Amino acid sequence: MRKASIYGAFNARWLTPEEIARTFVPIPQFAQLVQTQSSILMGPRGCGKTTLLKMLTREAQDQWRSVSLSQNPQEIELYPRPDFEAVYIPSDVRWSYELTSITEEDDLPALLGERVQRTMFSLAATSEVTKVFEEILGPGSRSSQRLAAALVAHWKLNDIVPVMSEIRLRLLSFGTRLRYAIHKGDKDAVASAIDGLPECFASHALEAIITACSVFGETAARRVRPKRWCLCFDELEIAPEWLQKELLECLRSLGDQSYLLKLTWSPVLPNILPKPDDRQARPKADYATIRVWHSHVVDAKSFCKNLSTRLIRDRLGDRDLDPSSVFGRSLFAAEERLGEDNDVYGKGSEVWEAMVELAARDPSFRKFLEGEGLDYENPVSDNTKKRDECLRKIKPIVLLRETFKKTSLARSRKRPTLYAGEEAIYAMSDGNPRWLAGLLNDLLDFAHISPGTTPRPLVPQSLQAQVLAAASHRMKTYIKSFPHGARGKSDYSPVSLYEMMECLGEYFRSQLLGPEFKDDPVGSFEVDEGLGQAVVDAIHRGLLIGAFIFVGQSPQDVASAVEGSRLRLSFMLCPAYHLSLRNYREIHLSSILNASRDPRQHEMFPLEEDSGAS
Amino acid sequence: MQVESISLSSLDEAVACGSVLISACGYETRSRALPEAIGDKVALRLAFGFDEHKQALARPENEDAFRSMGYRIKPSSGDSAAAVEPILKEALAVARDAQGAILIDISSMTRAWYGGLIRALMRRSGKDRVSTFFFYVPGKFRAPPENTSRNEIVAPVDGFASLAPPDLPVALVLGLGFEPERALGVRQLLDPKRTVLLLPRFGVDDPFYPYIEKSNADILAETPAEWIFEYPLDEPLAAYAALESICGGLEREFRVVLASLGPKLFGLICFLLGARNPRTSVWRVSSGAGAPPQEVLPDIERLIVCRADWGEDTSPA
Repeated sequence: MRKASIYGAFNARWLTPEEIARTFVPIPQFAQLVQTQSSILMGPRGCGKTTLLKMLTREAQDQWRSVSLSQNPQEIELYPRPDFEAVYIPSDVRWSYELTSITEEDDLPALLGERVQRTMFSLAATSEVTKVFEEILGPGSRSSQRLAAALVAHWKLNDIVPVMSEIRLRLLSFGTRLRYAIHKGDKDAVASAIDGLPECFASHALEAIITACSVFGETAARRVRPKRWCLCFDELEIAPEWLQKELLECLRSLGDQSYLLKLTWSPVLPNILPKPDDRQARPKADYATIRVWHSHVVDAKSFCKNLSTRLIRDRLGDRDLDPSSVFGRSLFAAEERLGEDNDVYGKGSEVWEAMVELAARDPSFRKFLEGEGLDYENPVSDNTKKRDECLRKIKPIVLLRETFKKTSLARSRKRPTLYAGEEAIYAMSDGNPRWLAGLLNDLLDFAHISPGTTPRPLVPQSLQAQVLAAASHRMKTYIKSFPHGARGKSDYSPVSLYEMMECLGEYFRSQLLGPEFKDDPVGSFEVDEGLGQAVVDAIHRGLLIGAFIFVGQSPQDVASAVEGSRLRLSFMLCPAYHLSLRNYREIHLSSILNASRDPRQHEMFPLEEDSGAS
Repeated sequence: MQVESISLSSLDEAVACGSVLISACGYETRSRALPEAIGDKVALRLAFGFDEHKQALARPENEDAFRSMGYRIKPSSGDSAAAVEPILKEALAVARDAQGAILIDISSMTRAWYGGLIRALMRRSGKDRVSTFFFYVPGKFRAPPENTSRNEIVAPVDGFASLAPPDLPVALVLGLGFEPERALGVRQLLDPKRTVLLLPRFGVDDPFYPYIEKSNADILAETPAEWIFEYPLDEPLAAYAALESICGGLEREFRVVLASLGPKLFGLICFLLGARNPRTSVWRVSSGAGAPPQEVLPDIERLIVCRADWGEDTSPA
């Protein structure tokens, strides 16, 4: 059997809008995105940005509304049909890196190289726009032919049958001619190929698209003209710099109310955009910043449950199954509601047993309980406040210490499995749809439904723990192998994201499993100033690939810069480092790096304030 | 120019018609193996000399050897192809005048250098014809280093980016090497819809093979068996044909990216394929300047010589 891959499960980039719509599970951020306002959608890879953009398109909306929403009519009110016509402009690493490489070649002058980039981009984007035109007008319809004729005339395309598909083929052939000239290193042929096109193709990033849309506006019947166009650009954080700059500037002030922009970006706001505090000084919000990641487990719970339920039922073919029946509850990761669940901490409960057992061999924990006025041989409390503020808070730490500390001295007893159960799976995914789908598919490989008695949970928790531990180690491997250098550049990057992650993981583990029991351990870090650009760049990479998660003050909070941000490790890494699936307080990153006992860390992270010290 | 034909050749055939030998003065002992085998049988002898690691391993000894063998050494950064054009220009002029061939020893070259040479050949215009002989001296077996280098740079090679627009998903065709985990990083960055893996094998009892399998166990386990292939390192033509067939099949539904982590011979095959088929991109995966140099002893008995004949580019734009 092929070993599962956490990244192989689900990638919206490969799917058509209709395919995406069939499995779409809406999130609150989608309600923000459908607003008639430009937006910047921020988040790490796999968090669902491409899915959300594609869901704005006509094809996806038609599919979703005809099938899914008919089953959940209450969602129609929550997610009204967008009041614009969305055009999705695809991109990916290969496209962005290859476009960028044009200006890095020795053979092409910089100015010509940028003209090539602009032209290639415009040709690809305009081709996508013509597909949307056909969707609106109907392929082969008379109005589509009239529009095609108008575009042919406007762009002076000679000897071409005026239909959209032929226009796309002609645009494709322009691109091929240009690519061939570049391949042969023929600068004159490159310049000639660009000069042979209408100027709008080598001009501003939006010029060719807006020109095409204007022709549509002049040609198409009033009843089919969109009120406004919404241009959706994906993976902008890896696009050539001029493209980033021009689109981000348009985000702030496009001028023409007929156009909106929806852009995707990494979890840190681009420098060119004002910080959120600065924006508050300007009453008019010209664009919305939409965060598509979750820093707290509770924020993602509803989405995770919905996606999991759907995936389980599709995969196992049983409409009555739900995540808790397949995976069971997680004592370790579940957050009991305030004042309820007396039995969780009651005498004889699993948590009680763990506390008693730990107190028997961990003097520091015994001392903690005594300090809280609890009997370490019978740590119960009828006081709701005590349960909520103390026992609920320390539960995961107790379970961790009882499992991993000095187990040779421990009594033989059946301990609860830590990294297993519904809540643990959701937490580990950090609400990232791709990761969640990957974990679920890995786990469901072990689910067997047989006639007659079906065990609950369907997947034994001991097996779940093995699968989730393997996923955690795979995450570490992915982080380790992710390219470290700046794109295409040969400068050696002295700071390793992986080594930084190891340092943090070990530090946080020592907080939880160290000699002294801590009820308020450190579990996150603030990136202080003065750490150096190499450290900042490594953290930025970590945020992009999901190794680090930004923890804001609120679910809408975004990082305006890496420095000053509060971050934590992804919960996907928790099994590998024996960490809790909760947010804990932060300290400065420099303190953690300085506290590392490994002298190599000081070489790897040469903090600017330490430079020159012996 | 375009590649008109590729064939297997021999040292004797190459030396018989060679007018120029372009080599690389590196830090591996392997670096001087072919120059020593050829001696002064080729009139003009040129070499790239690494700017980096000038005192590392066998570099000082190699430099002495190259100079004493009459090589003119052109300093160059391993990541830069800037030195390629003047070297090739001189080589082509000499080969044209002597009606001879250009011999290129890629054994210790970086991908930037031999990729740059192929790119420069690809970009020559005119009706010239030239034969090139590519030499590869495999290294004697050594176990993978304990401290593995990391992926510093993953990017398209200059001149080999196909620039195909993103209307089709990406297929990554990856030649595996024996450094652990690097293949995963390449795939993670490119996020392809399809991954095809190629494992090199030199004969039946290739001692490298088990290490390559072990070092790439994760990515091999995650890739469907139907997309895992072996290629014969000692039969470059067969390897080329296999790769061409794989890429040709994928092109209908994918934008293909070729990348090589393994032996340089596979990198050469990728470049020759990319030169013939501009729809296929060739990317490089490099440890960058931070990677520690590794010694490689030559296994000259297993020398591989591959001939590529170039002629006028008659393909339509």
